[in-house]
Amino acid sequence: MILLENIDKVYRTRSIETLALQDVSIEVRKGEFLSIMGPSGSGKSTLLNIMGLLDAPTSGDISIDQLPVKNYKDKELAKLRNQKIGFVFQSYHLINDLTVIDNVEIPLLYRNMPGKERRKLATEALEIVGLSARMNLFPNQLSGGQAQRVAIARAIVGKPEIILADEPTGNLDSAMGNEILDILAELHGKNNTTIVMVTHDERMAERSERVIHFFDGCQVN
Amino acid sequence: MFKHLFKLIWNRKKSNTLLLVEVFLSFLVLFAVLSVFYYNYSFYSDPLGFEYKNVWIANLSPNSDDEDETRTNVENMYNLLNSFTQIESFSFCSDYTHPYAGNTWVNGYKNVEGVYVNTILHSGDDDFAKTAGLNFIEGRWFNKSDDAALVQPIVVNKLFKETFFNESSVAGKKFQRFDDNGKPEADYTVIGVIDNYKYKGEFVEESPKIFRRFNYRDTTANFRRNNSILIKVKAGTSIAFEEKLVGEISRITKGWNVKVSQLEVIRDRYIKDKGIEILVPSSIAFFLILNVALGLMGVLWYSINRRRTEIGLRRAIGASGKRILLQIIGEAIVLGTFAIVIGIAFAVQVPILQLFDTKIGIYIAGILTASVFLYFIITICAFYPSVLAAKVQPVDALHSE
Amino acid sequence: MLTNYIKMAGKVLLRRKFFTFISLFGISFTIMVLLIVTAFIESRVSSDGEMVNRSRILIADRLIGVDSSKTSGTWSSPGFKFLNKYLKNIETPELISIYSHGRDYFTYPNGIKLKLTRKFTDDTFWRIYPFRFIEGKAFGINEYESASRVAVINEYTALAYFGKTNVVGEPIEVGGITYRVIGVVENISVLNRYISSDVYVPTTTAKSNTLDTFFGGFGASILAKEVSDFPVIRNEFHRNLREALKDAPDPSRTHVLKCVLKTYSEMFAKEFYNSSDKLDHQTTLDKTIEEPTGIPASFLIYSGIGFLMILFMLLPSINLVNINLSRMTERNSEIGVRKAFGASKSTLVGQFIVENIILTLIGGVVSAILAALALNAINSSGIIKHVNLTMSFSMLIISVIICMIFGIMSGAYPAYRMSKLHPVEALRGGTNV
Repeated sequence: MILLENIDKVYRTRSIETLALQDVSIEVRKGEFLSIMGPSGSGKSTLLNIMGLLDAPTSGDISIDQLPVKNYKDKELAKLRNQKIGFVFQSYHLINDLTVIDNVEIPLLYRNMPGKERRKLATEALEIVGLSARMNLFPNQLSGGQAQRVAIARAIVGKPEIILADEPTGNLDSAMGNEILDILAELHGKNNTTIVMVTHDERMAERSERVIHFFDGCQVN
Repeated sequence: MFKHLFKLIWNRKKSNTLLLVEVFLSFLVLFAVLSVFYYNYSFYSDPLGFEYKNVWIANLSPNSDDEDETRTNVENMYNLLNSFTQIESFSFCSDYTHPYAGNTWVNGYKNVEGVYVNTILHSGDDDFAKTAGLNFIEGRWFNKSDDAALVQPIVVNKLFKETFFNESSVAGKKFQRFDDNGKPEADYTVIGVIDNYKYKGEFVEESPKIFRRFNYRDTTANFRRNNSILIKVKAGTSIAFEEKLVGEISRITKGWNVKVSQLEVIRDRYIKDKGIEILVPSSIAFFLILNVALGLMGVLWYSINRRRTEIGLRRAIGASGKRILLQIIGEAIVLGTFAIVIGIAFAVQVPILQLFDTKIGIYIAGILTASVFLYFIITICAFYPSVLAAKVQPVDALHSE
Repeated sequence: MLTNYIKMAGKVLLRRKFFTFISLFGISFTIMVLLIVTAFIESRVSSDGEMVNRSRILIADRLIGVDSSKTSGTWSSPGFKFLNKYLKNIETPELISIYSHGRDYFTYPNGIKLKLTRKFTDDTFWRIYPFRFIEGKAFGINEYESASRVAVINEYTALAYFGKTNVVGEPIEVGGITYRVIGVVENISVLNRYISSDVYVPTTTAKSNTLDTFFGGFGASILAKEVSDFPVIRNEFHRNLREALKDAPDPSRTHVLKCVLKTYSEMFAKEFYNSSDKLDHQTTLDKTIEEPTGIPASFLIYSGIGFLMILFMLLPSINLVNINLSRMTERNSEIGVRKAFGASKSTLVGQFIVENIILTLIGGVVSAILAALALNAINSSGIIKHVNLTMSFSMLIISVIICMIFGIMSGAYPAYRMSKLHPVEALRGGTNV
């Protein structure tokens, strides 16, 4: 599904170079639930961003469905993200100026889909996360758990093959966190969606099928 | 404290550049508008030099060039005007002489240093100074004794005296006008010096002026140029007298057209027009500045939101709310100072390059008021956002976004 | 996609009312001022109605006589004798009209003091400037040559003097002469100063001394068959000027006569660059001897106006850019999310620019309403006599164009900065853009 080969990532500021990832090679298989674990600063979020084509590696190759994306332009990358990948972030990143349903519709906006169909799909996605009753509220009227469920609805509305979740439970208490995990697990079980989750919580990682550990930018097995 | 603010602004110079440019441009706008205002005010505050209250002007249009007829008419008018008890004094003068006259006669006179002094010429009869209320600095106006003068007597204004002679006392001085070939053409004796005579109105800069004597009985010259009568009426004379005056003059001149206007009315209209001329750019500038002020407030407000963590941290390490308030206002003022300093650097080019021929004091006043005004606006704009900032609680610093 | 942009823009604008207000205030005010200025310019450069021949007309407005030392001379409008003798006989033009400057007279109809402007003119005047007649007709060559005491008056005069407009045949007294009204025309704004007046009468009814002047009181309009005839006409007239020199009053002192025939555009350009003309009595005679610059007048006007407009728009634009930039930093997370979910750079730039254009279009509508109100106020205030400034279709187009320029000017830079924003940084939040 996603193949990362010999990925290096170096952050350069004016005076220092920081090596965030060093020679990382990972294959994400279709239909698996993968967790990436590690302490903060170990490079796991950077890895997720590179997987999600939000960030380019300093060196190394990425292929998605056997297609190398190295020479893709901004437009082509945007299209790939839109169709294949759904993101869930630790701090939800909902747009405050838009209602819940409008937030969920965002990925569909970039597919030139008629408004009615968008609304239908978005409502369906909200039903999956159990929030269809709150679709006309604004994000600041929601609790943290509800906001993260909206974010998940947004991630799945376009029926992507893979969901990348960056510490999805990081801002939530454990009860709410479990709720989120339940939803992710259900998506994985029912629709066979590939899920890659970054976390530093052992209990959350336990619920996935495979765990990769990270330390100081390196994969440790 | 100041150094700290300076550092803050400097380190954020990239995001502050546009703000800086905006304040800088506002400064230039303010400077321009205020300078124009002071420019006009400097003229306005320079004395007008004549009376406009209870002074009327009658413009005549003779309907023939016949000398005898004209002479009779003028003589009759003279007697008629003398007979009215409402009239205090009156003067026959040319249509380029009376206050708010539409015409101008300019002549160049070469002084001893060989410099041409462009001079406005006026002519009036012996009662002109009294009727117009001219103020004498030295000497006197024309009178009967000038009938016998061998050299043409003239009265000049203060500015002519200063630019042409550059001497402390000039009454009794003689000078010559030369023709194109440098030969003496005419001789003059200065018999008096008046103060200002800003006959075009308050907002027109005074220029050198020469008055020549005009004998109303002398109709050999084309009367059409000397067709005005300046009339000082007694205080409280009603406007109904105007219609009577017009009717009587038309009657005794057998159909000459007469147009009577009150100087006060002309002046009101003139001041109103000038007011609009100043008001329009001022109000545009006002809205521009208001626009900028609102924008400034908006930007500062946003930056407070963005800097909640920083402000919370400052609170956490012991800054009081008041101190935060002062800091935010201080930052805006430091930023404003940058912009104003750049603005002043540009503004001083105007007098240095002598783009306009005006007194330097006007620019200094313009720069000073523009700066004060801008500081005032900046402080006002920064106040509300800084109150918001002062309300930020230390705990906000710990809140991750 | 566009409908989504528009919907999004609406939502963003409504949620941030204070900032929307600031932006709208700046935009509306700026465009309103530009619209009012445009209305004034339009009233000066339009070729509608009586100005239909505008581009083919040359104006004789100033006659300057200077002595050889250039220190003294006469700077005045031409007189009737000069124009009639030395301009009227030029053969190339289609029509030549000589007319006096308007002169004000007080009349007292029904005991009320009424100020009326009277203009002497001829029959060709009405052919060069086809006025719209509400009643009656203009005077022709017969009335002109027989010095008939007939008058064409404007609507204002008809209403002020008679209280009605169907006044053909009624007597009117102006400047001591009683005329018979033969036509009523629409009011012409005093801004169009060569043809504006209240009462128009044949020049031949003037007193002989009015007609016997070399300097002062008159002007002329020359209608050329083609614009390309202008140089020929000017040359012809220049030869006549040399001829006229011996006829000038005080010929020993007058060494040169200058009278430059100018187009309406050239007159406007001169006014535009020397608006203090009416006050410059101190200008030396040297300076007043003006020659055409050789640069096309319309270019001078439009480049000058364009420059001033851009200068005027600069401050509000920077202000808007500033506000937009601030809003953008607030919307970092939004940008990141959109990028993550498949928006490309160009999509985002498009979104932001559309947002801005919508804002400016709303501002445009508001400003059009404000400008209409302001123009109405100017028209009815009587500050400028008979002025009738209107919002025309072309102005609407201009305002839409101004809106677009404004929207793009103020949206482009923030949009560029936004598109450059790295999604990872945007999502992390709190970074300085």
